[in-house]
Amino acid sequence: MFTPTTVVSSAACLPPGSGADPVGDLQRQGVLVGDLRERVVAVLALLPESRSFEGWWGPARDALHESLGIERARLEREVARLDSVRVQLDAAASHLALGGPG
Amino acid sequence: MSDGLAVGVGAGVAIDELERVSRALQCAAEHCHEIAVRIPPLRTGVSAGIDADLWEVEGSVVRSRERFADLASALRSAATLYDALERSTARALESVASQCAAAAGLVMSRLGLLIVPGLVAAASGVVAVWRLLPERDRDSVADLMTQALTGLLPALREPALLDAIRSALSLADDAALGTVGVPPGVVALLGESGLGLSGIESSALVVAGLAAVAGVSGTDPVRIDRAGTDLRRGGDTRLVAPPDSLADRVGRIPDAATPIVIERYVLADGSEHVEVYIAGTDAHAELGGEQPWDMASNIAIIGRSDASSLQAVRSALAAEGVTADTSIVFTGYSQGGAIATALAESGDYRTTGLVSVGAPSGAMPVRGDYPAIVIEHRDDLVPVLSGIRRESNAVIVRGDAVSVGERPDGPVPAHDLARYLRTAAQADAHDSEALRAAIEALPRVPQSGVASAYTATRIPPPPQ
Repeated sequence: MFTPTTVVSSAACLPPGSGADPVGDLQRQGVLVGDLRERVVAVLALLPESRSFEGWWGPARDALHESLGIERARLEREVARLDSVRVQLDAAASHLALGGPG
Repeated sequence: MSDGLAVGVGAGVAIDELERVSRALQCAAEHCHEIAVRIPPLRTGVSAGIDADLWEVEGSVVRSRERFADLASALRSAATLYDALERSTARALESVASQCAAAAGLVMSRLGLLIVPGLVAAASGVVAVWRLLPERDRDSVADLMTQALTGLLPALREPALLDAIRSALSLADDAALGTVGVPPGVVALLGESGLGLSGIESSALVVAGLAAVAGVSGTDPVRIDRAGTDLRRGGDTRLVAPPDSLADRVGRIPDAATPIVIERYVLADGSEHVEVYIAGTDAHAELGGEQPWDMASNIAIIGRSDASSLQAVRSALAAEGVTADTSIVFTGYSQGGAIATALAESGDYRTTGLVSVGAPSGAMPVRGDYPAIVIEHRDDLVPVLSGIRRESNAVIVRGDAVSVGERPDGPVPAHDLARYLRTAAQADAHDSEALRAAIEALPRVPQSGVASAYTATRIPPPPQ
């Protein structure tokens, strides 16, 4: 069963970008991006290991193994990208909170 | 997923694995979809760089979703095709193998007529030399031969060799028919891949017949006694908690000294329920002797005869008041598993479950409308002895008993009940849908019951 590891507060689930509270918006957006990251990590954990279909599948098994490898690499890359987005949002929120230009 | 276990319904064991991988990928596709729909509201225009990154993430997740859905669909189709193809290929191959075996039998029988005199002369020579050897040298030769045979034992745990033995045993009847001159085409028509008139059970019947001629019978009548010290009341009973898992059931299988244990319970609806546990063969029992759990009974069961051990279980069930309306789950190990299968399929009982471990029951079809779970080790010689597995509704769980690099004791370590207990525990934790459904379908017993154990003694025929 899919269970994201990040607990998202109800405040963070408000739609970001309303404009009234730009620091809060960025923080909420950061939390949601963190939640997305956890969801992608959970999808990676769902992917079957190649050892679990070893021994009977022959060349088709190899093709399946290769396809899953490509998808795994793609999703791992997106996990890193979401990490980077999260860091950018946190930095922007801190910057705004300290009174910097928006 | 438990390491090394393969689960399948019927003769094939890989289909369930294909479906499991397919389900996992479908699940991944659905979760990717959930992620993709959450991304657009996050592109707020605060930063072009962040929006571009989120755009990239969305595109990748959507591509992964499509790929996972395609793979899941392809795997489902492959499982369906693989299942159908496997069955038809196996039947065709068996038909060809059957004809080859019959032809080989025919050739060997003709060749045999030519070489038998030579073989007899060679054997006589060996016996003469053996008799001429001093006692000490004979012991040395015997030791050397024992060492050589012990060295061969690990080879008997190789799954590939065991599969070959399984096939060879299934073809023995075809070779025998060829030997007596039945044309190969007719043999294939009579065999398991054709009309099913001959099979491993006919080979077992021939062996049983030859044994009977030699004075060994696996079908002599038996006497049963309830075990325990309270003999005035006909033996002891004890309170037992209901079984709650496969491992719990396998752990209750008795040894061959008291080969039958019967537990009686009352179900939630007030009706009676019985669990019967049946022991495996006594390796030290004299062939055709007082102990009915011997090899003679084993051969009789494979030959579908009324083996002494089978009669003993029937008598014990009758003694416990079991009728055709009593709900009953059969659990057996080795010979006990074959007995359990035979009784579950006999139509004489209201079978509500079957659990067999390490049993030579492959030739026995399981067609009843009840949950049936068969646990076998790939490296165990005993299940192989009943030949190629036939039509079966049972969920088949196959695992490895001996791990790579392990140096176990005993001649057939993969057949140890303790190792089967470990595999049963792994099966309890396995996520196979078919296996989970079968375990869940076994009757739920709400309260404790009483257990009785029985001994059995074969009654030898009166002297002629």
